[in-house]
Amino acid sequence: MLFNSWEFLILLGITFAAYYAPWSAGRHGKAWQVTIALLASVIFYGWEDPRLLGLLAVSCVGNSIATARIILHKVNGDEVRVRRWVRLAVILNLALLGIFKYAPFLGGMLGGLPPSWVAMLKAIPLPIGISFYTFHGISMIVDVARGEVTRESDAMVSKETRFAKGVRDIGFYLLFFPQLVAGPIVKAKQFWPQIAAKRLEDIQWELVLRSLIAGFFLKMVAADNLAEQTVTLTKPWIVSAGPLDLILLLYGYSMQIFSDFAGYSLIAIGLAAMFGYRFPINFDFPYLSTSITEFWRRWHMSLSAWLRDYLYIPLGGNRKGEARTYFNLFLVMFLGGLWHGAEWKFALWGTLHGVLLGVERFCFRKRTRDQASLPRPAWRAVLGWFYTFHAVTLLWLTFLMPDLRQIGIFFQELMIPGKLLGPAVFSSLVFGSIAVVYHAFGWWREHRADEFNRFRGSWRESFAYGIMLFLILTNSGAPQGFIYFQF
Amino acid sequence: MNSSNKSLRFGIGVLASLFGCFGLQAIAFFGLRLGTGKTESNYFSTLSRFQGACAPGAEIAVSGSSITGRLPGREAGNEAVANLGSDGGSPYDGLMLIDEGVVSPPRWLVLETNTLFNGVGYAEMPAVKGARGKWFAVGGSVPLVGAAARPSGMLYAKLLSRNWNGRGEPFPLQQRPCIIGPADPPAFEFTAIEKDRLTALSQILSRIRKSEVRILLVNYPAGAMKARETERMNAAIAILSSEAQAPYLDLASAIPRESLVFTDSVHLGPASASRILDTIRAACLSLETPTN
Repeated sequence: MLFNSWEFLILLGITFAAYYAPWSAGRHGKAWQVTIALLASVIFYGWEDPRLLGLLAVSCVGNSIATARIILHKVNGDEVRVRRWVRLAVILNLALLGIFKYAPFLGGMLGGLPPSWVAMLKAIPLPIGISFYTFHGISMIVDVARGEVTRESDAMVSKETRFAKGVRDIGFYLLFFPQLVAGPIVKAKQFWPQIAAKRLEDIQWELVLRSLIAGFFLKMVAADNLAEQTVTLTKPWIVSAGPLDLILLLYGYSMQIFSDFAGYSLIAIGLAAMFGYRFPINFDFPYLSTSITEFWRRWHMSLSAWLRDYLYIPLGGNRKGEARTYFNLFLVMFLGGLWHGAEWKFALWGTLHGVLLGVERFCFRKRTRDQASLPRPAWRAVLGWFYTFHAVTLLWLTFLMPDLRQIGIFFQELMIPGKLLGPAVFSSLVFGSIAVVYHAFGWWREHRADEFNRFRGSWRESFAYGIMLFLILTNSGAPQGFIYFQF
Repeated sequence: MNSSNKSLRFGIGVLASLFGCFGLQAIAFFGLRLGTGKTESNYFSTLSRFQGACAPGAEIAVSGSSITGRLPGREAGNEAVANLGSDGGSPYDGLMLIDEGVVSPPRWLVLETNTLFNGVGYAEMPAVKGARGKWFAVGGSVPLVGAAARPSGMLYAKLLSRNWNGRGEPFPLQQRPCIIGPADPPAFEFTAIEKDRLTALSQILSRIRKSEVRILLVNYPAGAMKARETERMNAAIAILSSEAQAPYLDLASAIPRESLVFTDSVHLGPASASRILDTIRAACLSLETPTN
């Protein structure tokens, strides 16, 4: 089910009404609300293909059992068994990911397999959002093992009924629909402490409205309108586009992917806030970055944080010497790229980002932490921004294009003068500028905080949101799925 | 100011601004008549024509691809003509919508023959899916949220400054359209998916004819085709014309290309499109007039 569908609006309305029903304020308010949200999440996820619920159930029950066992052994001080269960649960999560996401990819690569096996492997469907909920599962297991999540789960060991409650809460964490299929990847230690009875009067409506309006605006007006044009880059009729079209479409795609995913994340944040939960921000104006290193602190922040906490640091991070640090960096970015999709193009995209991160680390290795925090001259910031934005945009080619051949055609066509395609130019400029204006606001917020704070909460701000709402209603693009749903 | 007051003020501001924007849009759409069927988006250009075509009472419905889409229909203020031109699509798209009851049956249905086989073997056009959606119906009843009133579309059309109302005399035709085939249909080997398309077209036309709709097949002047495509089209015309008792009008042969203005190699300019439409209407009128 898509956030921008009628079905979802109806589901949301019913869920919201039931969630805050008068009896939700009673003694069993939390149980009622979690159950309602869980039920809505199941409907949300299984709407298009109910068969997918089976896999989700396996993940949910498997992680619940493992979590309960880890807590039990942790309470008993049996660290060996804790580690054994952690390994088992992480393997379970990675196995699900491996079978459903990477087996078709590996099946195509491995030589010597009988053709019927290869066909069977390639026929395995990719369940929507599997990359996200397996990462949620791993986060929960590791956070519990590290003792960072204890509150409710400690109770699970005492009685059978409490185990059921624990399973329900774990299921709620894994399945909660705003984050289920495309994040943000909320860590267990961020989410679990929030599980409690919620009251209607505690909803922060300003946050809800701001997030939902800005999110739907970015997705439906900017990203969806751009998508109709940028698809040209991936199709055989790319040859009909002139050099300027191609360049504008590439910049357009850069704005589209930001608007699509940042829009989704904002909608998720707004929806969670409607139900009394706070999700971390996932995009902090990434195209303002003045280095690739900074870009990854601002882009898909929940994935970056996940990779750092559960992969880079356990691998040794930067504590095991320079060579190992570079290796870890490449490996994390390579795997991060592959996480986006079981294709070499994603691995290449991640690796190229890893190379740029490595180069930046090498160039600035002598800069101390104090020096790094000093404000840089304006010209260096502008130069850094120029390099970062263009490098990121250029690397989106590997992310977007179906294969390397199409990238070759793109560069070939850049050399051939051609006629301008009116719609491509118009849409890239008009709808691409939405993401530019959005980032201009980000720059304003970061560099003119006083002025921005005066704007925040003013009539002018509410008028701006009114205009966005108007454009959502009148100027949305052709309905498209979210780009990150495929991951 | 407490939190609920702030939220209330924020909400009031949002609503005031929203209604203000709708007011401005209403002035642009109804007052300045900036509504358009030619937007920056193929999807919405098609939907705006489909939405315009939905109301009953059309004298003529023209169904085809973007070639047909350039003819000025209701979305361009021409109330007699329901335009079912589907950008990137084929006449099959518009036919399906009439067949499904989304679009009311017209008195005359004019079918573009140039693109009868466009999109065979591919998924359904997104605009056709869109036309079955709820938002399409809402846009049909509330023009301000319709596809023709999109602010970006109005801006795009204004930038292009298309004069949809450019008119002129219809092109004189020496011959009345006539039913051709199947006595001597050109030999042609259709592929399986082409046969499926032809069968589907035949079946839909047969159903539509039951609603007293008269059908005219038209070949538009729209650039050269490959040899196989021309043969395929001629064979299909012979079959459809005979089966649906539909006269055929070959405008590509009847009108010298030099007398037409194109915006590219395929699509007619506004004035030529108007004259072509008037020629088609004249042809329909001539078919309604009994001959001696």
